[in-house]
Amino acid sequence: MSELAISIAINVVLGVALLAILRLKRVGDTVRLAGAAEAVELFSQRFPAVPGDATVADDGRSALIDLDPGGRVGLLQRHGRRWNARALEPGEVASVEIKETAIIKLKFADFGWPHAQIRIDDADARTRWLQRLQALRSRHA
Amino acid sequence: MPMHAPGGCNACKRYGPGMPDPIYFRAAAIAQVLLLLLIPLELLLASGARLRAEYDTHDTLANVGVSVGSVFFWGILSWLFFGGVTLAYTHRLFDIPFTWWSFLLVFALDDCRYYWWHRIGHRSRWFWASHGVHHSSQHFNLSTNLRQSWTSEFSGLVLLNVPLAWIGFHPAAIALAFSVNLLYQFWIHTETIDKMPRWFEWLLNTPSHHRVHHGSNPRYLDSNYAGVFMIWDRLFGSFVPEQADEPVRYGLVKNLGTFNPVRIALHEYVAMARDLLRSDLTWKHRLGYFFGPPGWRHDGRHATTEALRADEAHRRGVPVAADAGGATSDRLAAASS
Repeated sequence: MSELAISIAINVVLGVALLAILRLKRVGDTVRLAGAAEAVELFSQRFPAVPGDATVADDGRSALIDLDPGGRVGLLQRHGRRWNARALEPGEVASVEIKETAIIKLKFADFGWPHAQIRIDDADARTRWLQRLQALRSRHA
Repeated sequence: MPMHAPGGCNACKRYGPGMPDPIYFRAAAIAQVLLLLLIPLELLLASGARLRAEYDTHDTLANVGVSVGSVFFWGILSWLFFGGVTLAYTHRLFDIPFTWWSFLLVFALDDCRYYWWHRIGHRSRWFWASHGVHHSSQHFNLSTNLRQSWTSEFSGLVLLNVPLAWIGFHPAAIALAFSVNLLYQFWIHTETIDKMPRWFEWLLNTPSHHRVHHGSNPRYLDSNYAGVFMIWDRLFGSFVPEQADEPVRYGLVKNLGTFNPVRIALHEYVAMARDLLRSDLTWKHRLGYFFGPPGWRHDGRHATTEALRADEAHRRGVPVAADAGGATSDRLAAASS
């Protein structure tokens, strides 16, 4: 039992040391999308040959991509210093809500990727995407 | 000549000549702590742009969090390993003393055992639910070593250790061989080292081979399972070299959107449970979701390694086998769900 406690303690000390170095060296999670073209390119690395216009979030941390007119929606989401891509199908979105006026908050029925946020300041674009995303939810709800 | 410390071995007087001197376990534990110190060293040198290595704050801390859980569950479940091999050892065929030659033998045999353990861990979803945790980071650095399964003792693959004990290798000798194997694998989790000398790359596992193993590119999926000796991959047809024209994309086919260690450790079990509990499945479908390869789907829209490779070949205009799966657009949807 003492060996188990020592092993866990070593891990905790290591974690604290790594966090201190990461803070000290300012290893940040600073990636931002430069524009729609970059969003589509990053998305196509995961889903090649998928066409679509992208709306990049105003904080540059995510993007929504129109995959099929009125159908699937592509989501590109910052994950640390990487980008996660997901083609949202009908039934995949558990809930959609607006948070702090401009943020679309999505919840997924997915333990490994439970939620996402997209900040869209433009009211028309936000409403359009909100309807698209709600349609993905309502089909199987 | 038994490998014992000067002055003799108290443990082997008690447990027989097959028992390694405990000094080797202490040496392995010290080596493990020293290797852990390489993680902050790599991070420091990488942040000063002296090394090619990329660290992410959240990812690194998630690795540590997963490691704490892994150590905890190993601590409380390791009796499954020791219980199984000890039981087999009581019915052993031979009494194999712990000597330099018997250690080399058990090390090589255990490395073969590791290859098959690893291969099964990638090719069947129940086992992948456990092992996939180690592949869930989208970064590849020394801290990736820390991201280990919480359920490796629980999955049932510990049974692969039983034959060695039944032949007559002492459970502690098997555990020591496995410890040395894992210690070897520490240094290969890095982007810092490009390639080793050719003879070394041919014979042994290296950072280059293991980068490929951690890749989610269709070309790289399910390859290079070796622990120490690459000969197993070359022998059993799973060797894939790193290609300069195709940088490795680390992580899963469907990456995680969380840094929560509990979600990282259990995500595939939850996804599998969701699939198994669907009301529109037959029992054959359920067996497919449980034991089939990761990405298998009952509707044929597979996102398995074979299907993803077929998709890629289709995009590149290369003819592929007809039984690889459904249409490309279907597969894209399947891979996303």
